[in-house]
Amino acid sequence: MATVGERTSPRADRALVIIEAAVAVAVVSAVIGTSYGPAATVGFLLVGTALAATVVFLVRMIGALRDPALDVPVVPIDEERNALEAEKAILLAGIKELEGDSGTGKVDREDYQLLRRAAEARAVEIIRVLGASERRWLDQAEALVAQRTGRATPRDPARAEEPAPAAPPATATTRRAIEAAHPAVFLTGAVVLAPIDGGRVRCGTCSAESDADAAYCTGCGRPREAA
Amino acid sequence: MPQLGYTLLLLAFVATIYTGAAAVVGHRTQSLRLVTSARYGVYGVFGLLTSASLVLVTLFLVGDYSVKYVAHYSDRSMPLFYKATAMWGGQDGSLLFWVWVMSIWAAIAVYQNRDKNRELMPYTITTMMWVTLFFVTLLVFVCNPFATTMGAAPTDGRGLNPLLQNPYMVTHPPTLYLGYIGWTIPFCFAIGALAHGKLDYTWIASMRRWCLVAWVSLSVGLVLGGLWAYEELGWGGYWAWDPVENAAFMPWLTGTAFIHSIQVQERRRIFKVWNLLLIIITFILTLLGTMMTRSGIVESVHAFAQSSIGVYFGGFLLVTVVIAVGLLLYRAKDLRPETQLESILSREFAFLINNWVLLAAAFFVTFATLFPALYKHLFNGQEINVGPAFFNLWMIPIGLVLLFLTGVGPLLSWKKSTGATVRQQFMWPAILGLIATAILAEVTRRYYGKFSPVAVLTFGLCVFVTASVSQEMWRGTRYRMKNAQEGAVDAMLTLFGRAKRRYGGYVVHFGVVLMFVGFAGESFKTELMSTLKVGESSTAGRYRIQLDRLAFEDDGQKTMVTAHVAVFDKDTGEALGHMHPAKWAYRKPEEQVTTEVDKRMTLAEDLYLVLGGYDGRAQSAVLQIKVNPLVNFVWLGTAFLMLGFAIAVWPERQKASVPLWSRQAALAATGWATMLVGVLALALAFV
Repeated sequence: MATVGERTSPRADRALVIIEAAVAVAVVSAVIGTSYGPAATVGFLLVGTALAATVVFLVRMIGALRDPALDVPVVPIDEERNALEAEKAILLAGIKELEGDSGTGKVDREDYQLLRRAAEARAVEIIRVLGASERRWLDQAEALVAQRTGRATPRDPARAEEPAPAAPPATATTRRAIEAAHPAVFLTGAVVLAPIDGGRVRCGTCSAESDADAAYCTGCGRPREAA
Repeated sequence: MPQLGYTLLLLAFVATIYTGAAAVVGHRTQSLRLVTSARYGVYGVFGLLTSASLVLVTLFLVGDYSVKYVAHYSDRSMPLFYKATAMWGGQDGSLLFWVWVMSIWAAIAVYQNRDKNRELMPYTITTMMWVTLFFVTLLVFVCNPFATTMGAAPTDGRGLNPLLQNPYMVTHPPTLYLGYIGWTIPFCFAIGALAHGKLDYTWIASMRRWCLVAWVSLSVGLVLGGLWAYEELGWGGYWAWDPVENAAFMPWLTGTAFIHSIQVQERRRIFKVWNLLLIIITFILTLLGTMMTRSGIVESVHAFAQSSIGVYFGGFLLVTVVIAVGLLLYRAKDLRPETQLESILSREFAFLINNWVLLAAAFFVTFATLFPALYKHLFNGQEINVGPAFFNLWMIPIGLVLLFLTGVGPLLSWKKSTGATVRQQFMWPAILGLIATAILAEVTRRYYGKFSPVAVLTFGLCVFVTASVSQEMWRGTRYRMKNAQEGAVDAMLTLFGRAKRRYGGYVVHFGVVLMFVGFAGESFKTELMSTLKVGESSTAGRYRIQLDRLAFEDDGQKTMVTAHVAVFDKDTGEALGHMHPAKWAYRKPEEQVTTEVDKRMTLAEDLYLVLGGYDGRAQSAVLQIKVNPLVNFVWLGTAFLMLGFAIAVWPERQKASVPLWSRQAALAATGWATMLVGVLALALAFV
C-alpha cells in the first residue's frame, strides 16, 4: 500500500481523478436535479464548463501581456526558403501527376517529356539552393560551437561566407526557351532507394524517404538506380 | 440567468474589440506578448459566446418565460428535443447561433495555425474579429435574445411554429450556418493576405480544407432544406427558387467556382485575382443572403419577420466591400500571373469557363431574386413576381453547361492537351453519352408517355460524365496495376489513397450526376386532385389509391385528421401498402394547421399524397396525388457528395506529435476544472 510521500502510478492517478470528477458531477447533478429536470441540469453543467474554460482563456489573454518569457527577439522568418520549399512540394506532386496523366494517355509523349523536363529542372535548381542554404547555416553553427569549445571543426568556416546561389527565375514557357535554359537537366548519378518499413524507400545518398514506386529521390532529386 | 447571458455578450463585445486591435498592433510593433494575448483573446471570445449560447439553451430547457425570446418560441407542452434546439427558431437566437459558430471556426483556425503563418495570422485574426464584432454589436444593442418582459412573467410561452417542429429544423439551420460561416474563414485569410502582402500560395494552402468543409456544409444544408420543403410544405417539390433558398444558393455557386479555381493557382500560379475576387464575392453573398432573410426585403415562407436589421447589414456589407475591393486594388501589381494560359485544350481553360459560368449564374440568381424588391422601390410600390418559370428558363441551360464541364475537366490535362489525346480521352464517354441519349429518348417516351428533350439531354450528359469519371478511375487503376504490380482492388485503393483530393472530387462529381438525374425526373411528374368518399378510389401513374377511412385524434398539443389510404398496382391489383396523409391543427400558436404528407418511396419514383381537405360528416377527403419520378436520386447523390468530401479531406499520415502537457498536469487540470464546473453550475442554478 502506498504511504505518504511515496509516488503512486500514473494509472492510479488517472483513476483517482476520474473517480473524483464523476463523484463531483454526480453530487452537483443530484443537487441541481432536485429543483430542475435532467435536461436543465445538463444545461447548467455545460454552462459551468463553458464559463470555467472562458475564465482560463481570459486569464491567459491577460497573463500573456505580463509574461516576460514572451520578450524574445522575434526570429526572422526565411520567407524565401519557405516559398521555395512550398514550390518544390508542388513541383514534385505535379511531376507525379504528370506521370499519371502520361500513363493514362492524357498527355502525349512529346509534351510529357517537355513538361517533365521543365518541372524537374526547376525542382533541381530549388533543391540546390535549399541545400546551399542549409550548408551555410550548418557551417555557421559549427563555427560557433568551435568558438565555444575551442575545438576545430572538420568544415572550413570560410565556406560560411559563400553567398548562396540565387533562386532561378520562373520556368520559361516556350519550348525553345526551355531547351535553351535547360539543355541537360537530369542529375547524373543514380541512387539506390532501399525498402524500409511502411512500404516506403530510403535514399542511400541523402536518407530522404520516398514512396515505394518513386522514380526519383524526393530529397536530392537523383534518378533511381534501375534494379 | 438572463442577466448573466447579456453580461457575457457585453464581455464578448469588449473582448472582440481588444483581440482585433491587439493582433494587428502586436504584429506591427513585433510584440509577441500582444500577439499571444490576441490568440488567447480569440479563444476567450469563443468561450464567452459559447457560454452565452448555452445560457440561452438552458433558459429554454428551464422554461424561463420572463425572457421574451423564450416565451415567443417555446411553451410547456413542446417536446424537450425542440426546446433544446429552439435557440435558432427566431431572429435574435439565430444571430447568436451565427456568431457562436463563427467563434468556433475562428478558434479552430487560430489553433491550427498557432505555430505557422506567423505573418498572416494577426491580420486574419483582426478580420475574423471585425466580422464577429458586427454580429455581437447587433446582439448587444439591437437584437438582445436575453431581453426580459416588463412586469410579471407569463406562465406559459407561445410555442414554436409547428412547421419548425420537425427533425429538419434541428439539422437544416446548423448545416446551412456551418456553410455560410465556413466561407468567412477563407475570406479572412484572403483579407489577411491582402493586408500583409503575402499573396503567394500560402494563404490558399492554409484554408483549402476549410473551403471543402464550407462547401459540403452549404451543399448538405441546401439539400436538407429541399428535403424539409418536400416533407413539410406539402406541395410535392423540393426547390421553388424561393428568395431565401436562393440566398444560400448564390454563395454556393461562387464557392464552387472558388474550390476549383484555387487548384489552378496551386499548380500554375495564375488566377490569383480570380481567386481573391471569388472568395470576396462568396463572403459578400453570404452576408447579402443573411440580410435578405432577415430584413424583410424579400417575401418568403422562410424569412424572419420584417425588421430594421437590414439597414445594419447593408452598412456592414458596404464597408466590407469597400475595404476588400480597396485592398485588392492596392495589391493589384503583386497579383500578376507568373505563367500564362497556354492552350484552350487544357484543364485551366475548362476551369476558366467554369468560373465564368458559375459567376454568371450567381449574378443572375442574385439579380432575379432582388428584382421584385428593386422594382417595388423604383416604381412606387408596384409589385412584380419573378417565379420558378423564369429562373428555370435560364438556369436549366446553365446547369446543363456545368454538367458538361463536370465531365470535360477530368479528361483534360494541365497546361495543354493535343488534338490526338483529346480525341482519345473523349471518344468513349462521348459515344456512350450519345447512345444513351438515343436510347433514353425512346425509353422515357414509352415509360412516362411523353418526350422531354431537356430531360433526355440531361440523362445523356449524366452518362457522359459517369463514363468520363469511370474512365479516369479505370485508366489510373490500370496504370498502377502495370507499374506497381498490384491487383485491381489494391491498385484502386492505393490510387485513392495517394490522390485523395482528385479521386474524392470524382466521387463528388458522380454525386452531382445522380442529383441531375433526380432533377430531370421533374419533367415526368404527374399530379392530380381527387375528392374521394370512403371506399372510393382514384388512379395516378401506375397506382390506384382507395380511401379506407378518416380518423380524428387529439394528443393534447394538436388535433390530427388522418386519411387512411390503401395503395394498389393499377394494372395487377397487387396491394402495395397503406399511406396516411394528415392535417394537424395545433392549439399553439393560434390554431396553426400543418400538412403532414405521406410518401411511398422507391428509387424509381415517389407516390406523394397530401390531404388537401376533408368533410367529417360526409366522410370524404380531398387528396392531392403526385407521382415524382427519380426524386430520390437527389438524396442519393447528396450521400455520394458527402462520401467524396470525406475522401478528399481525409488527413495524410502524420508522424506522432509530442504531447504538449505531461499526463500529471493534464490530470490535475481536469480535477480542478471539474471542481470549478461544479461550483459554477450550482451557483447558476440557485443564485
